Amino acid sequence: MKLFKKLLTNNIVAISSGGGHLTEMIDAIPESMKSKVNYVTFKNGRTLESLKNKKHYFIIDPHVSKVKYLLNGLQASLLYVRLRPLFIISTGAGIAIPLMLIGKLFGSKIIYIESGARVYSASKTGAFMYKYSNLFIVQYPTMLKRYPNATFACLV
Amino acid sequence: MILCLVGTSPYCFRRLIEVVDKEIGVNYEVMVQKGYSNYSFVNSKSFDFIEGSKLKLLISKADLIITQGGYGSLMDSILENKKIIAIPRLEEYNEIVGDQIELINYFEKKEYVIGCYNLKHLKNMVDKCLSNEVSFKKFKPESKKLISRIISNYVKSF
Repeated sequence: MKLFKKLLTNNIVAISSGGGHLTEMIDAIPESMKSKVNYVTFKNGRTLESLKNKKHYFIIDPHVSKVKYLLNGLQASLLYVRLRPLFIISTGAGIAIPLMLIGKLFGSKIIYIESGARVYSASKTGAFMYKYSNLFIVQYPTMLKRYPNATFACLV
Repeated sequence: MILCLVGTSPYCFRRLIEVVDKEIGVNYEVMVQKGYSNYSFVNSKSFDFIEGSKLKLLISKADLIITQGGYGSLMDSILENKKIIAIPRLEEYNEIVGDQIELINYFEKKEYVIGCYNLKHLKNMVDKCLSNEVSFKKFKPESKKLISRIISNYVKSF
């Protein structure tokens, strides 16, 4: 594992599902990092439009299917080997879990942003990733009750 | 013009747009962003999706926004300080995974939106909003700390 850590590059991967998750993630990326980030999401007309001028990769959205999680994990592994990112940023949801776990295993730093749609209760992906994240960000002070070690900040 | 938003969710939210078209569209000029929902409009204009910048322009021109409870649609409208009626997509009608009630409740407390939890009341709420019987507060950020700044500092520390 330590050996692999030396192989990590300065690449930043930002992975999420489409819709609000992707919009929030794009807004969360600092201006200075925008050109370096590799976006990963599922493919549809909307995500294509949002990412047309940005470096991006598409992977399968597992949603609730175990078989699709397996395929997603396979694609995530290949992508991880290709990019070897030091940082993985995500706003969820399930589509991002395999890549984040692979990253965690090999020493990448995991930055997780709990969805802005969550004010009182945890999302399934957030609750799961809390213990594996190096930096966990929530968007409402009310969420610090659920995630005491989180950092509270805003998108706008 | 009243603008109705259902966002980019792959789930259908016909329950809302049908009521908007039939009950609101007869009396007012209504434009519906219908996304992936299937419905043939009788009284209203509609489109599926639109570029983000154009959507913001439409929102800024609207007199009232009737929207789903998704983060994107809500925030886009709140940032423009609009009159907003928000209707949660509900899991029991197969409109979403995880109800949209929590965020609407929160924004309702902040007086950015009014929540409509029973579509029977929608028409009445629209009339009240347009006759200024309901007041809305301007958006105020929760904190001055920005997520992008925190990420930038964190990344620089390595």
